[in-house]
Amino acid sequence: MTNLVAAEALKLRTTRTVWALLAASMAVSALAVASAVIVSADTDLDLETDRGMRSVLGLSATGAIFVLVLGIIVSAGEYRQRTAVDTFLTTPRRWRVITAKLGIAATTGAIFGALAVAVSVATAAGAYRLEDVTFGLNSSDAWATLAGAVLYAALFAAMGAATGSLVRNQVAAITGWLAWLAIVEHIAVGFAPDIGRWLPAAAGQALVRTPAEDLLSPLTAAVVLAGYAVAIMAAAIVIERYRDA
Amino acid sequence: MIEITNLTKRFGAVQAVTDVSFAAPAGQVTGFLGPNGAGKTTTLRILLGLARPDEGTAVIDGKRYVDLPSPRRTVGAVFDQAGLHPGRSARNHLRVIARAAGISPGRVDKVLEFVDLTRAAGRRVGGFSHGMRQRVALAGALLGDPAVLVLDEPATGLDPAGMAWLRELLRQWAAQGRTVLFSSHALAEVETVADRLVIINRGRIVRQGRTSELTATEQGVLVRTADRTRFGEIAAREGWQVNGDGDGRLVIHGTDPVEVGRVAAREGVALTELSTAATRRLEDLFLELTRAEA
Repeated sequence: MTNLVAAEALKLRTTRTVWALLAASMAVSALAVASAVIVSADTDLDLETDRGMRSVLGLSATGAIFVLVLGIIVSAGEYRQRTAVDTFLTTPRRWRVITAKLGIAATTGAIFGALAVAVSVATAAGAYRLEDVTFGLNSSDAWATLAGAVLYAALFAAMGAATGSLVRNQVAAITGWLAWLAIVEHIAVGFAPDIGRWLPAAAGQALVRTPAEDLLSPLTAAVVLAGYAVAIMAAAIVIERYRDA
Repeated sequence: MIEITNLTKRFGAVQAVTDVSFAAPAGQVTGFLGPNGAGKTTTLRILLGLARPDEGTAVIDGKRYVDLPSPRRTVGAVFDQAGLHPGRSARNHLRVIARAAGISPGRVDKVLEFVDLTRAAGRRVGGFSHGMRQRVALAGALLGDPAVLVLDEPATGLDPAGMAWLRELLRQWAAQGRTVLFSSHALAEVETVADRLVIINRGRIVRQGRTSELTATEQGVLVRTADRTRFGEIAAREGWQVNGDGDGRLVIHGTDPVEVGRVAAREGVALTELSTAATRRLEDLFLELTRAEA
């Protein structure tokens, strides 16, 4: 399994897509954080409070949307580039491939998340100074939010990789996820708020401690998101037993 | 040694492969021949664990591909449909395989040199010609120094020099006691290199045996007639084997010109040509198969 994960890491490093997604993820996170600080006066967000810090720093997870895409490319990309045949010739036990892909996606997601968080914190510090507000990372809540953002990226990458293995079609997986996060889940939450907080986007909000009503606890949210990833992966592994490569 | 036994596979309503059985022994080159869509790729995909058979088994040295402890070290495979990531260099493509299969990284440069790609190894595969890509794929197959080679249409896209080089490689490989099975839709590609031939058409094996026996020339009767349908009926009754020669004539085996002339006269079928020629029954058969497909 170590060889397999190392090979997946090598696959990622040897194409340019991954670097483009990393850059996009960092840029979007920094941009989201910066704009939240800049418009804070209009949105009545008190930057100095704990609540303000959490609101701003939680946005460092915004770029994780690209990490989700990366996860999908890790698995579904093999069908798009028709490299899946070669991969399964090397490792005919497909569950091993699917599991290794989930592992490498989560690991890469965590690294990308950490980098996006680092850039976001630096951006937030600069933006706070521009607004003449003191920026201090001395509350444990702020650190928990940042840790949540890293975990957010890791778990969304894992869900992406599992989804890519399940549906195989890269375009369908990406559009499906984007539609879900941007549209479907909002509608679902409107209809049934009790169920809504268990859904991926809301659980992600809880993970970064977004100050809002009705969210799960961060720990529960992490478990829920990991559960989605594992459940989708399990479905992929079962279906793969009946599917030709 | 590859053994395929009673393999059957359906895709929905389409019967892709029906009761296919053959063996590819070690130390020999086995050519797997058939028109496009005959079931060659499906058979090879099942052999390599990429598709599941509805019935039957396909084993390599007695084991299914998925049960091989180290597949890349046992079997090297080239698939026409297997892609190479256009953004990855040839060397990195091979490094990925070596890494996943636990093959020493030193083998990468060895196989690159063997397929004569050392100078192009650092370039992205997206800019490669079809022939170069084919060589990258072949390098991937040779990486684990396997005892069994399975190649699906390896000649596609190769120029004559590349073709000659591949032929030599397959022969050498077999001479070292390894098993070589390769598929093709062109008889000419196969007969010069294969020790054995397995011919498949519409998902069924129609002929198999030693190439020398299958391609032996024999005396055939050549006939031209305007009344082909009638002649065909008579031939069937007489027990002759009739194939078209692709040039409007019929090639008949299992009789002689005197007999053909006498029967045609008795039945009142006008022949506009009657002669003999040394023909190859396999070529006639294969022409017929490929024409049916077209």
